[in-house]
Amino acid sequence: MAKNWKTVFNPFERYPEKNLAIAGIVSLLLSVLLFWWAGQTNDGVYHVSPKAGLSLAGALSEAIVCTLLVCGLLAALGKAINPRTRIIDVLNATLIHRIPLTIGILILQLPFIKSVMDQILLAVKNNRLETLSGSALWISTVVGLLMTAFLVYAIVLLVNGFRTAVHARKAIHYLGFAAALIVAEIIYRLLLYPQLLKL
Amino acid sequence: MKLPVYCPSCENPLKVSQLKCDACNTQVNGNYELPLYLKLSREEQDFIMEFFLASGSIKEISKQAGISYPTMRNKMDDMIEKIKKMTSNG
Repeated sequence: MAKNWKTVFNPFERYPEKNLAIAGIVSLLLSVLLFWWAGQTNDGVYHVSPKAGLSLAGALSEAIVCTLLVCGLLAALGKAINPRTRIIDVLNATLIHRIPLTIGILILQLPFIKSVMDQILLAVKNNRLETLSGSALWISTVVGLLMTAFLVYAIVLLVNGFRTAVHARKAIHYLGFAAALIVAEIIYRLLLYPQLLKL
Repeated sequence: MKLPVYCPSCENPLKVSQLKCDACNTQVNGNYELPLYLKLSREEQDFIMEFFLASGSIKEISKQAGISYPTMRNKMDDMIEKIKKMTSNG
């Protein structure tokens, strides 16, 4: 039982890289289709916004650029920490950790949740938050907590994947990891996303 | 029977003080160091043997153990570090 829970939080410890890579690539492609269908754009590595008319090529480019950017920075850090780090292990961690985030976006597309989110956006836009119903607030709170849980789970997966790939053991390694994610977010938002918008 | 390598009383490494020939009952007494391999835990000894029998392939041994390649490589790195420490100390 304990082993199963361990696998849920660190599948990288158990499954071969080929299986993880297949699961990661399939989930990446499904997330591209979901973002395209739902009109959601990755305007940050860990930020999503609605965008009408997002093309399939645009959704695909965003997903690939986000994944490769995080993977590239973590792989460079991993190689510096442990030269025996394999890029495939870091790439798998980067691919797999996006699955909970994708599931989160899928849940946001449920009609009753989407309708509540639209109500909230409208109320914020018109500065009429007092008009929101109790059920809308209740649903948005639950959804907010659920999305936070998905984000935490995604980060736990990435940390565990990185730790397994790199054999990170020291606090400085995890500080480097956090710094790499912040740098990825900055590079993506300031340099890469504006270029992707031109596609 | 499992060979004890650490003192059950004070946990310091044990040494060999007597060896015996089963055929002629000759006994050799002394104060011999245990070979490095025998100073490792049973699990570590088994691991080294499995690795040897898998022709030194981490991929093969990880498949046999049902764990991923990096997990097995990390386990091996930890053991290499431990053995290096043991050799430098002793």
